[in-house]
Amino acid sequence: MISSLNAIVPMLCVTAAGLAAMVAESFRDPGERMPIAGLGIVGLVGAAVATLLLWNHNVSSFGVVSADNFGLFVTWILIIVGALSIAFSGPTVERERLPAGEYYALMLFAIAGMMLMATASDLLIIFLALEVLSIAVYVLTGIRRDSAQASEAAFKYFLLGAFSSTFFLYGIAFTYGLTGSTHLDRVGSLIAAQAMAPTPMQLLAVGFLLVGFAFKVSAVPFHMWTPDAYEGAPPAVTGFMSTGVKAAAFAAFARVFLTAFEPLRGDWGVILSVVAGATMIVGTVVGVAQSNVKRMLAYSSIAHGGYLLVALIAANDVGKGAVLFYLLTYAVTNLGAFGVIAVLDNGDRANDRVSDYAGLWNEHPGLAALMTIFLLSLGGFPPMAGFIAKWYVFSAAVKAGDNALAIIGVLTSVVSVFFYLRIVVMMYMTSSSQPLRFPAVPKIASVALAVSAILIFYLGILPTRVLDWAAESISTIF
Amino acid sequence: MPAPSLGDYLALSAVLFAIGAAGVFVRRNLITILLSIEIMLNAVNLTFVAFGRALGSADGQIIVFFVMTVAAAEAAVGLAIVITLFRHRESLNPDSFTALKW
Repeated sequence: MISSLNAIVPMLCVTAAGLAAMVAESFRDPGERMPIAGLGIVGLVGAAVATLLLWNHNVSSFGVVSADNFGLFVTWILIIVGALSIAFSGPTVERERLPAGEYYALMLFAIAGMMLMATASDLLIIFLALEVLSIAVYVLTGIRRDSAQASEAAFKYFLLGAFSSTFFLYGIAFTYGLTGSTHLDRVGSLIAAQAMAPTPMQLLAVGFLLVGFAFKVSAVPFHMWTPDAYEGAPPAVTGFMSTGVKAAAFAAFARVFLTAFEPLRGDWGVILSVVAGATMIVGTVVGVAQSNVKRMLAYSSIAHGGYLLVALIAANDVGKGAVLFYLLTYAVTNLGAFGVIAVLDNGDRANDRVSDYAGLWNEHPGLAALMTIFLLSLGGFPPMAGFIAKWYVFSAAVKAGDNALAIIGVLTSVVSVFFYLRIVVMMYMTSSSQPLRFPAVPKIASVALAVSAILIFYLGILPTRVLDWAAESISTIF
Repeated sequence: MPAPSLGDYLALSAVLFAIGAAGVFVRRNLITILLSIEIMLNAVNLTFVAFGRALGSADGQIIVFFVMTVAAAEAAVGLAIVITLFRHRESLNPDSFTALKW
């Protein structure tokens, strides 16, 4: 009987670490320092080992959580996201005097929810996982309770998140009414068996689910919450939610739409193409006008969501691995960029305006070089990982006949380079008027930044192995 | 009077859902906006129950219990966030929150 728990062992490890962090916090005297972040790392290592052992076994728990290679690949991405986020959180937690136990516990619960979302094969479980991760992230967004900006960001995120989950749930209700089941396999076979012409109810189900997912992956026109939430949250949390939430949401998105609703592809494919095009264009064009680095990267992450949507639409033989590969490179790159912002955050000064980066090269040459790597990878320069990821997505789109999307993608990438390079120019070619405004960089965070940079070069120069893994993994679901 | 059909229940829940969705945009009080979201969730619950009854399976009713739990957790977090907001602004009107551009 105990073997029926196998597929959820990674989540159990992370949840146990989260509970341990909460218990540790309750035994902590005020002002006492405890290595609570270490508990989180232990839980993530346990999850990583469990994921390795589960690889290729294709086990399933209770019929609703299936640890196939697709889910496990995303679990791997989430473990990397979790470990890097915890490493970047150290300075923020210390400086802002945040309750360490609560902070890390929430982060670990969110990771557990993300893992569940990536491996769930039942719509109801996907909804529950979505709520587990969202509720934890709402609180993390507003964890700096003394900041009005953070509270506002948390409320906006909460309001639109809760609003969108009702749409998602309404979609599940229609799917249930249509097929009598919420299990993806059953839904898929019943929809395939029903009449060729889609019924209004099918379209309602697909439409509502699409709206729910579009909110979560911040696709245009459901992206309004993203810049506010990303700007108001502490930078370490922003990095975490811009990568982890997106990875989990895209995993569930791919699973639901490429398996259960695959027979209705003709209907949702068109809508999704328009959404993807609009997302790339709006994310890039509005991003150009931003003067705050966090807001700029928020729009950049909206645009990257658009590229991921293209990968999802063009999931043909070439593009199969593209979604997972893109998720991995985006996660590592974006976390790195927010990691730099997090270590530059000075407590009383956020140092998050583009002009604050003037002369960073003179004060922190290492940080400036790392930030350059992350920004160029986001912009898609070779030999960074971002280039290979974009190249695969666009070539998949061309192979699938979506030339318009590929052209929009390439053009917006070119435009986006403008705002990424603006920061680089600021760092190297402008001298600062007020010296020594940046804090010293803690060791753990610099190691994590270096690891992200190494991963970016590895994925950019020797991508074949990981690409093959990605393609093999996603072929376990369709 | 004939017993209400599945269509009647679905229409009712669609109307409730629309009322809730409109409330989120129209109302200018944070607590009322939260209540509007609760109305939307309960409209969905009604849909689940109606479908469950029409299909003759208990799944629909069971799902409602999960949704109610989630709604409770969401309301708790939402109200806590409203309290921190109120401490900063002494107001429940969303128009007075201006630290971030909408």
